[in-house]
Amino acid sequence: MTSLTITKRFVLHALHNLNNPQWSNEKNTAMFGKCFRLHGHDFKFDISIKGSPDPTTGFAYPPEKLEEIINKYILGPYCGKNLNEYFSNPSGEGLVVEFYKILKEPLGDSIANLSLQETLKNSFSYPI
Amino acid sequence: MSETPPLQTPTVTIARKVHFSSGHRYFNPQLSDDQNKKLFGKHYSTHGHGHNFTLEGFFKGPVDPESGIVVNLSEIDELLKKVSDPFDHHFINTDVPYFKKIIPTTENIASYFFGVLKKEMSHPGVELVKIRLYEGDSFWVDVE
Repeated sequence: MTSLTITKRFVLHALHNLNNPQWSNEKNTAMFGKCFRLHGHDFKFDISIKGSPDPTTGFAYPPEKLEEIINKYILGPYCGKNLNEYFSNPSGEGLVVEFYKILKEPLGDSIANLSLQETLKNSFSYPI
Repeated sequence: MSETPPLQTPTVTIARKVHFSSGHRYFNPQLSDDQNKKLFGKHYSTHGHGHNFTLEGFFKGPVDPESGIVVNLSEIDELLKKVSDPFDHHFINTDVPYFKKIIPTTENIASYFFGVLKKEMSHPGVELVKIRLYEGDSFWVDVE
């Protein structure tokens, strides 16, 4: 039995910094280094959806609907924003889990995985 | 004296890519133009559009104790080229017979490649376990 998964990449330009608000600046700097300073990324979001091609359209998931969901739930609310104002843990690990939960609402069980590439050197994946 | 046990041969998956460029059109030939316009919305066009595609095959097999490899990459290259050549610099809807009746979405092309590669991979002990078909940089389909 074969299985088919589509993955759509989109880019979120946003700010964040890593910090624990309970800690002193010195302790945060010691733990997080340069990531303690407010900075930004072109976060690459790879949304994976499991399905099979619809016999009428050939699409596993309607591309326009997926774009609408991405715009409504991710790009609209968070593009160009400071993610620390929205999430208690704005690390890559925290964001990938929170964004997965946000996308789970409109996509339901269709969403198979979310991968978040922070830089060319690191990425985060949930739940796979 | 006991016999020397045979060497353990690890099983490894190797991945190899081939690039090709094609045109395709989202159009269901069983429906009217108006129905197609409604169905595909902004993705409907009269002429279609094109992409740079990348087909990546994942092949699993035992590492040959004599050569130290699973399979010669030139053998994989030949296979990937054989299946992708009919698509390269072609308009898929009209030039690839299989897609005269099936809409050549990237999902359907990926499923087609998986089936053909699975059948064509004839190296003993080596199996195609997955393919990934990239349509440009921001969309891809896995079939396994």
